[in-house]
Amino acid sequence: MSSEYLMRFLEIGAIDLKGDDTKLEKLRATAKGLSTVLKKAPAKTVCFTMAAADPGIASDDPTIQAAMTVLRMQWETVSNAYARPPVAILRAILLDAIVLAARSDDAISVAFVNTARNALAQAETSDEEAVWREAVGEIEAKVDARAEEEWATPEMIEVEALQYSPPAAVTASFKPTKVERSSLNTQMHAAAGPWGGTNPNQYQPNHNPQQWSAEFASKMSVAVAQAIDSAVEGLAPTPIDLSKPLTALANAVALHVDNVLASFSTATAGLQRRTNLLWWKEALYSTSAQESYLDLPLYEAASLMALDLHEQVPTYSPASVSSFLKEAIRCLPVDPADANSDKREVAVLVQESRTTAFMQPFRNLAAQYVQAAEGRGPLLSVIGHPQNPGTIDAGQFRALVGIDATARMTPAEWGTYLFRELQSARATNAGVKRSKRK
Amino acid sequence: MDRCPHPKCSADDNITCWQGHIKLAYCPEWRKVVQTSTTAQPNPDELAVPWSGSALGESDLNFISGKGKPVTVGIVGPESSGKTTVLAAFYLLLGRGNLTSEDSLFSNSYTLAGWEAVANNLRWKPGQQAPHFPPHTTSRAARAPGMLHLAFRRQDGGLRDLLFADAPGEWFQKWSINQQSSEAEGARWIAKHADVTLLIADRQALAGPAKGTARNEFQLLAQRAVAGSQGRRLALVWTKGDVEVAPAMEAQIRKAVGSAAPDVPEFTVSVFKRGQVEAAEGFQKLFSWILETRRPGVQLPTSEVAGHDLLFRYGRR
Repeated sequence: MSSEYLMRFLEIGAIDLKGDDTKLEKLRATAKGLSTVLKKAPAKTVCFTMAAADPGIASDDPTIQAAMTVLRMQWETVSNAYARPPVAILRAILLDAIVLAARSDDAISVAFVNTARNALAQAETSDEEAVWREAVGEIEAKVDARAEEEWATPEMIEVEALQYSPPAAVTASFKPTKVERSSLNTQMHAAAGPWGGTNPNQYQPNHNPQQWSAEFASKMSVAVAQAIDSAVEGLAPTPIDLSKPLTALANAVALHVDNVLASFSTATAGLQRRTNLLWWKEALYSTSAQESYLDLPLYEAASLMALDLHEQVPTYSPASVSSFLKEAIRCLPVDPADANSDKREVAVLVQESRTTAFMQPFRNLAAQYVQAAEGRGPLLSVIGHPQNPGTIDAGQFRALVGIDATARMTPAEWGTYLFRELQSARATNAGVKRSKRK
Repeated sequence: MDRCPHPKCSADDNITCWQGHIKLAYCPEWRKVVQTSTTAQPNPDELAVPWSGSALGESDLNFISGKGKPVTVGIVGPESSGKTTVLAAFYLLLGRGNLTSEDSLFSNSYTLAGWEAVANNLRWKPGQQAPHFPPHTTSRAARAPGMLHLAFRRQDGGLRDLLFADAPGEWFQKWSINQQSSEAEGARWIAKHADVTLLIADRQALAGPAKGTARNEFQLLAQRAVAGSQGRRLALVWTKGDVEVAPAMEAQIRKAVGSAAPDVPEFTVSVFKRGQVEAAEGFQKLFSWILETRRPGVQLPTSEVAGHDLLFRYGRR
């Protein structure tokens, strides 16, 4: 499986390695090495993909040079085996390496898919279409599966049962008490007549029956009451400690409520995202610029829409979000008097993005996401680091961003191109804090 | 010289090793057969290069296409229809500087000997017989056709490699009858890899005594070539343009091509001057059309989705 794209890519490029396992192994080992490099530094995905997607990439491009260094480690004499630097072979290796890395890393997948969709349309790649279609299709299916999880709106929310096991039955300790018979006997004997021991009844029952019975009742009730009191006192229950089972119950209920709320918010997050998306498209209002897109010049609005939508949606978004942006941009009115409104030169658009005050928030974000351009890389590198605000000449422009300076884009193409670049850049720059714009 | 045991290496053919070892003594494969060469000191003035100058075979192609797939031009036509003459005319006109412009200057060729072999017969040599058409290109045993290379430097500084397939007509005839024929491997290779297909219509055959057969053969071939080109560039090239062909026949040939692929450009070439038209003119037009070839970019379709959720289906086919 791992060599599938490598071999097929080479075959399409009229490079025949059939029956030469030695060479193939060297190329495979290089692809594996580069995929390890990529996994360690996912931010390189964009440059790797852009280099792999352009047959016209210069042989002195830093990415190609880096790949060549890795290939040389495997195959020392590679330079002598080809008329010029074997860019086609390095591109095949790069594609294979990216797919290998993307299979195990979702962030790399997002960056690869978005970048490939941008770059392939700008390069002379029609003969490689079958391989690219398959590679992007495979990785995009993976990205879409993850995006669907984040954007899904389930009809029912499934909640797990409450995780609580009641404590074992508590047995109250009970010790039956007996009436102290000897003291009761003594007191009753004392109540019976003057012959009783301590504190006897001073009356004889036969001489003063009336007084005797009053005294007897008084003494007997005290004696019996004392006996009952002491017996009851012995029956007082030991207090039972319920704090532990009650705390466990409280914790279980709290966890359950948390889980319920989490499932609920997961279910409603997708709904919230969809609602926001619809509101955004229908309102055509930029919350960041606090202005309607309808009041802005067409291409400025397209750039701003890309930026706003990027801030609104998560990294894992279905491919249809780009289509949504495209449709939203197409809703903007075209000025019939403006001859440039349907298509404008990319080089001019980039130059404006580098210099106009309006694009400052875009430049700030781009500068956070990517470093200044050294070789082939995203437009963001050129826009985000306009150290030298002069116009970039056509040759350098092609080398840096892979687009012909004379190429023209519609507002929708321009907006979706920028949006995909922003999505790719954020996916592979998880550590970068997003700017809070006013 | 001993033969390198590696099946794809042609190091014994006075070119360098296919793994890129400039000194054969360093190559582990070569050392398997030549034990003594490790001690022998090679002459420092002798330097082998990795190409021979002859037409390139399938495995030689890696040498050129390692940088990028060259624009491959397949010249498809029955035998004796003038395919090799078209190539020879290109080479001779290029030598006279008649094919290049400021937009694309000739840069280099790795098959000058191959070109020379093709064009040799069209060259006028003093004291010898007059130039004549190239002899029949034989159906060789090799599977892929011989490839002739040219590279042009474009105005933006980029190099553009071109490969011309010099293949015998028999291959195409066998291919037109049976696409899977084992003898049509070369024709299949051309159909698969050609960025530009020149479909040759031989005016002499179409006006000659066997014109019915020639027409049928062309129709069969055209059908196959148009299907194989899959939307890539294809042109109808009338060779031997000085020969008159019945208008009805011309219409049938155009119909054979046009019914499957409308708007196919047409070129007429001849090595003889036709009225006011110089012989070079037809070749120049054809060559500049070939040089204009650019492969378009890829617009990837959105991936297929299952389910009825409109959000995920939105914007997809």
